[in-house]
Amino acid sequence: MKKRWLVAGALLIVGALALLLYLLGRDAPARKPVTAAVTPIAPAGPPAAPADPADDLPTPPADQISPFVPERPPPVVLPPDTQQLTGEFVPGTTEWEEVPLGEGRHEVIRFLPAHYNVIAPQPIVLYLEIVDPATGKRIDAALPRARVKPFDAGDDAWIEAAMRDDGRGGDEVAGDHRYTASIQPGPKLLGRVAAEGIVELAGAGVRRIPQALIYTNGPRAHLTGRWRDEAKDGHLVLSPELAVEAAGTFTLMAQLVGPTRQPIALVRATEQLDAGTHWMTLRVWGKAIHDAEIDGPYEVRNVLIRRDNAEQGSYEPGPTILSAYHTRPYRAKDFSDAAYVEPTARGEDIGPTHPSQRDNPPPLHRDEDRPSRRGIRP
Amino acid sequence: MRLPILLASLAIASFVTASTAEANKTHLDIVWGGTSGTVVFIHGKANCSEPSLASFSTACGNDPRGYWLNSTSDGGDGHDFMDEATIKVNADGSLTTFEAIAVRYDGENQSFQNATNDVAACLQDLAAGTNTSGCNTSLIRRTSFSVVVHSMGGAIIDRILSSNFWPKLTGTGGAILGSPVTSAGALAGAKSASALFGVDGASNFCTSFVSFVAGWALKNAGGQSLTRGSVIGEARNGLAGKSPRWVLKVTSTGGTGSCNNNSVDSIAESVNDTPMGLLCGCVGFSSSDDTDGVLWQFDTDPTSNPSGSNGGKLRAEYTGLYWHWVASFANHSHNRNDAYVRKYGFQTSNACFPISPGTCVGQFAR
Repeated sequence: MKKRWLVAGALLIVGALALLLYLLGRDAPARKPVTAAVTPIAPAGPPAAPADPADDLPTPPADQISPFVPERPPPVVLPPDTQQLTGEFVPGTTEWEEVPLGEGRHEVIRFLPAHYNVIAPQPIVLYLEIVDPATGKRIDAALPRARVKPFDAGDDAWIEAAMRDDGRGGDEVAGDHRYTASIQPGPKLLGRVAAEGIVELAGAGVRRIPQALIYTNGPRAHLTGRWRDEAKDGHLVLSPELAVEAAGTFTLMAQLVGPTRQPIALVRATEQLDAGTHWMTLRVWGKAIHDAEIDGPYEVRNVLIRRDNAEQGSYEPGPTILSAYHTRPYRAKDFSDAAYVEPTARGEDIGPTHPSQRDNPPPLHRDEDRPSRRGIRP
Repeated sequence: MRLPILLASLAIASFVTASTAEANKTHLDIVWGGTSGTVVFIHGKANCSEPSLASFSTACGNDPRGYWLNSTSDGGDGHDFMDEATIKVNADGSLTTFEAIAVRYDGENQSFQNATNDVAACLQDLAAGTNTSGCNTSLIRRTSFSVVVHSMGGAIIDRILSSNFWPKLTGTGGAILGSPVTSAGALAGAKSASALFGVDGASNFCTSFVSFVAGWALKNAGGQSLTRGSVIGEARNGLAGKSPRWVLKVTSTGGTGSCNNNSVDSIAESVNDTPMGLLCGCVGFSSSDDTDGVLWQFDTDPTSNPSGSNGGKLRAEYTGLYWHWVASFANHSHNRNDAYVRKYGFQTSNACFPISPGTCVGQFAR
């Protein structure tokens, strides 16, 4: 009898719970099937920081944690062979390296190769000076040294030389506190070269300052000095003559400026050429000139010819020609303002789902383990 | 990030490798799967090639994604930039995923120019399904892919784009798609990088700060190749700064004090920002122009946008297309989705958050 009452009581409790659940659930919306959920989108806002009592980090600037849509760059309107020039620069040179002389010292050590592109058998010439920025004057650097080695060689490859300020051995002016090293390294240094200036001063210790340059046999090709120019298809076509000693791939780079040296465009061309004399073609895309609104005659400046060894990712530059040619007096509006349109020449796209790739190793991590999935907010 | 460990190991590694010039093998791995295309990630100045070598960077970890991972061991939450940059939340809540492939190379024992050769050869193998370089032993083939890089990876992708040495990657119909993203990319050398070159010979040269950054020791080919004289020389010869397509730059916010995040030094792993800022002051270069490009910690921002638009800075040598895309409070060391993501970064369909630049890459870079 007691057992019956217990069963009845249990059934009553279960029934009450069922009724309660029904009443609570009847106003709820029908549950969606468990598929790829489509969640209503709300504008993104700064997320609330998760509670973490150990995390007492300050709040970053608001712009860093506010919703942000990056601005996209404008369409590309010039082809790869023409780029807008905002100022002239001289190939075959680089900048002074500058480092402070030391802690608590305001003087600066400066170090520069006279040429970044050194064509053998020309010597590698390096300048070093210590400058007081307040006065701009150079000061005594005691007896600085310089050394050079192939860039990727070990420390045992350094070739060291004293730097001098006696007006001899490549030093231009005696006693001007610009120290000069002139090094004849020979063929073992051909390629990229690491250079180092070394200053040792009482109270300042040893200071080292790096530089870099290219020591090369040159491109074994040179411009003969003969040029042509014409307006063609809305563009300016420049054609220099090139004498090639040994076949190879050559890149020609030049800067087009206006009559008063207003920068207009940097242009480049790469061609494979056999030994002999050839006319190369440099195309200045018309829009670069048209939009610059600078009438000619134009000057072709800072011209560099390189022999490229693309397989090795290296090159052999020649001497820079500062002023190579003056064109006929074109007007800017003679050239087209048409934007460049990149050709769309793609072959079959082979990606991870392509049948040919079914034997690829699987990803190292499973997609469901992506950490960012934990932080996704639609 | 594993910054303290990283710096300590680099100090040792730099010492050990100072007199060697042996570059090591390049690797290629599929890290995350995806269905909407492939993104290749190129890490920064580190040797991620051979874990058995002394110069191997602990930042690379035992995982091809290690370099991009915000390690839990030092306060991170396990997110990684690589993951975040290959997932996109659509307006309807669904997800688009991209395959993430990591290229690991040796950026310590060789110049960035030679490292570029290694990376480019590996990318060409990926595009062709070959293994000429030795990196693609599984003969994975992806005829097109996007590229995301960090730090020295910026110098590498810039050389690939500027030189036109590898037209199968960059020419018409080439494998590299659209606009590569450079996160704190070292696109030009820096005076402060050059200054740090000499620290080993100095008894009192910014010693209190240099002791902290000993791992920076630039006495290796990778470091020296990224100093100002080296990179500007290459740019003037046409081998840098000539990208014919937009490079989307994730830059730091810049500013004085900490060089890169305005002296706010108490954001988890960025506690070292103030010492870094003091170092910048010590070496005498506090403007972002001069500190840009320093390895590891500093962003680089030397490039100009044509017409000076969008905050570009003018360097005449940089005639290419470099877009100041996202200015991140995260600094050079941390913008691999780092400490900040724990509190503030997340994926969302209609915006991203500069403090976690991976969210911007995932949502808007393609």
